[in-house]
Amino acid sequence: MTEAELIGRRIREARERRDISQQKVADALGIPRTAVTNIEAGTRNVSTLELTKLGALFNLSPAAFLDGSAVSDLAVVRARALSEATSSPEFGPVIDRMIDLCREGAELRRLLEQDTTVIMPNYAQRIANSGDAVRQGEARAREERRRLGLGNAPIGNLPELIGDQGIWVASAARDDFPDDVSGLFLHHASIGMAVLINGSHKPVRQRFSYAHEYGHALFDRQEELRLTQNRNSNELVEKRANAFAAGFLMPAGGVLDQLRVRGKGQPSRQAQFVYSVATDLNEEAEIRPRTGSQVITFQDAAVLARHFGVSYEAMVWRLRNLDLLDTPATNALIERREDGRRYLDMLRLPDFFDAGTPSDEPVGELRNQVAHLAVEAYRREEISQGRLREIGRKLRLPAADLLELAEAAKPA
Amino acid sequence: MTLPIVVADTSVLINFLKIDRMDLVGRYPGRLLATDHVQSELADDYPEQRARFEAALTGGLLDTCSVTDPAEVSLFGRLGPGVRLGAGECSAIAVALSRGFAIAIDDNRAIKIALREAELAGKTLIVLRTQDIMVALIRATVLTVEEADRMKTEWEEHHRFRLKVRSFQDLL
Repeated sequence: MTEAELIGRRIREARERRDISQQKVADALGIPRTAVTNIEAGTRNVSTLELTKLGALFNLSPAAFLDGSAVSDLAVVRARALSEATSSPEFGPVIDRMIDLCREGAELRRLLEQDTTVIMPNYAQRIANSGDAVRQGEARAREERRRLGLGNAPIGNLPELIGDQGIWVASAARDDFPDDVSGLFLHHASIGMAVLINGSHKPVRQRFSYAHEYGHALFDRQEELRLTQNRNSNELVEKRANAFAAGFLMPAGGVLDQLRVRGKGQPSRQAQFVYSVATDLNEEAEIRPRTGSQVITFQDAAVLARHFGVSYEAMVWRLRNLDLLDTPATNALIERREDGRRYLDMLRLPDFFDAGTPSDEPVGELRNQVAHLAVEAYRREEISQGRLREIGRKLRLPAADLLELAEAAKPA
Repeated sequence: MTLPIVVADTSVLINFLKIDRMDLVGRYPGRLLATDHVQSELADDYPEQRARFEAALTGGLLDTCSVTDPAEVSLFGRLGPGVRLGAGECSAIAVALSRGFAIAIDDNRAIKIALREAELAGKTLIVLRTQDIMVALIRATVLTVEEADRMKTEWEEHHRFRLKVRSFQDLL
């Protein structure tokens, strides 16, 4: 087989794996479809510019068509992700783009000789039943908060916090994600760990998804791929990740503190013992809060949800889970969700509730992660300016501006 | 004296485009050539310079070429586009090395890799930076030192492009 035939075969295989037509390739290259047929047959030489455009179309390095590395084992992971998710024509390119950016980031880390050893603990543990899943999730959430020094405080920038653990963190643009998939966790030797979140969901739901997928990174990293979707929500590992997310975002101690601040969450009767110096004995007294004063209302749930950056429902279920609500009270609060929304609207705090506008930003934190590495690599002259501009284009940043700013980071 | 053909990378061409002096590229005492990759990069990354570059092509100030020769394509792949270098730089280096042309490029990392590749292939590669092009233009009396120094000031003050010389006089 000639070199041209080999290159042509690799192009055809990459195209077919992505289910892209020859016509679409022809349009991307600006050549007739017959020319694509000839390239794939090895009867027409392909130019370096065409190889680069093909690389951009397939999210591969142009060199991949020349040295055969186009047939990456990551393609297997990709195929699994697509087959497990509900069919969505835009999902394939989303996965490709995330994998490509993670690969770029991993390559930059390698050039910068950054230690990519995962410092996160591995909480992998067998789960016996649902109760066990919840218990494990809760316990590890407490442990993880302690490890990260979070105390009982709400978590501010969750994607950044996860990114700081060495995990690639991305969210997909609206409409590109199957609606029933809230996120996915990916772990591969070539790129490390990555989480991808459905960016079409409301911001507070996305926060829960980030925490959920982070749970998978802590518990389930022996798996190459895990999709979080409606149809696998009953699996024990999913229940454990949900319990982890709830405990991580809404720590029990923090919830109780917030209730106490509002004079809530006290037992209905509280015995008090006071030492009397006159009698040298204990004197007992009982404190009974005023009737109804301990009732957790929709205002409380809404304000707590805002405080922890979670949805109203997530907060109510957390209160139930912490035994601060019984079942009728839980149902009553869920029914008053709209009142909670109106209450926060009145206070002009809608963005902290289950409203907010999903971001159009396609990759979120991953873009920050890769851009930072790229500028640092350029500053240290590990990559050239052409390469920096190329990465800028992939990140959909103005490449010339990125280069100018990176240039400014260099010593005078 | 006519100098050898020079394959110009984006990093050099953009300097002349930004100050609207592509006429100097046409008056360089040796022909300048840009690969279609470089042309594509200029269009994508510097859309505001697109018209100037196209006018330069139409005016015959420089030529363009596509890189399809199997040996050049193979060399392009060996240079590792998408690792340390951009594809445009790899295409320019591949053409320069394969055809025995000089290369005009300003990036230190790209120059290092190009020279290493030339050494491996047992070839001599002439590398020109923007300042070398300017010196050649001064020597060919296309530019005076004063004019060249004014351009240097404009690059430094408005385009974040710094040359590590006080005046071009120091390079003559």
